[in-house]
Amino acid sequence: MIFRYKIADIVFDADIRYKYTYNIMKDYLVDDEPARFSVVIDDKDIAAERALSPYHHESDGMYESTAVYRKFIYEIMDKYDAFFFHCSSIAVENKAIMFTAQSGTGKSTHRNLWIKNFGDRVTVINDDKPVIRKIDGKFYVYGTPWRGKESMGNNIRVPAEALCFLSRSEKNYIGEISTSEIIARTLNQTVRPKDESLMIKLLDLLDGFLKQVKCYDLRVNMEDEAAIVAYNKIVKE
Amino acid sequence: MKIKDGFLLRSFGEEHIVVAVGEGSEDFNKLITLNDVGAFIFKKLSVDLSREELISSVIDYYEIDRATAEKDTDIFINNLKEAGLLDA
Repeated sequence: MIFRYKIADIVFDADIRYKYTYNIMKDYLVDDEPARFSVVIDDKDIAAERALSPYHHESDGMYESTAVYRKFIYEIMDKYDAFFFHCSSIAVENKAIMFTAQSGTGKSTHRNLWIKNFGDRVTVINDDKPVIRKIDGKFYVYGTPWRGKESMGNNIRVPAEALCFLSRSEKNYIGEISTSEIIARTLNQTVRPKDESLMIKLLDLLDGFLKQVKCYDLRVNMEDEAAIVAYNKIVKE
Repeated sequence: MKIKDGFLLRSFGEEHIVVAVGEGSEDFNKLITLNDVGAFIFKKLSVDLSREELISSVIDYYEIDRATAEKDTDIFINNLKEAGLLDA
């Protein structure tokens, strides 16, 4: 069945077959705005997602939902200056703070420490797959239906402020890092298009994004102090 | 020798990276980061050049002695070969 969605302020139609996909996307349904394009997923797309997944045994619905995301991202990259970035993202005082790392490092755990320590001041934008979009030269972090294992996120957009490269450490530490140190790590946290002109577009967007946000090397343990050390540097300074 | 089709060099400040595009990108998911000399040689090899031509251009551009240029160029050519980026 065809449904109409608005994600990252872009309206499109998607042909959805599985309840799983419908359920995770339902906060993003719209009906009164014209669609810019359509996304159609077939069995081949689902098989391709299964092959890419490290588990291979999730439900077809789950693979359908990631296939929708992939097609959506490639569709909007060029025309809407948008890309996918694998991170947990929160808003504090209407500024987006992103935590990125390889899966299993503890992005969600660290995000939880912020909620625990700073409560209402923290809103989760998206815990896994936000969209980053450039509008009039400014980068924004958008919530999306793909909210990660704990299903945390909101349908909001927040100006991009800080990007933290998270790693585990016994002692908590935060320091600024330069673009040249992190470009490879950044490129590993997004999907890379095969098409050459789209790849050039993505690299242009990432270049602008990394120049605009403040980048931090954030090394944390799992205690409250981890969030406090990060907060004091990112929000207070 | 020459860089195979389907590789794209992009510089971010002082950091240079190579990514795969097109059909080959499915088999080549990794990123290669290059230093300045590496990026210079990579760009030169967008057209077919011999080892000697490459070394001459490195000497001209960096104004270094022949021995150093040969050493650096050979190391880099070898890295490119191992990474599967070179057409022999």
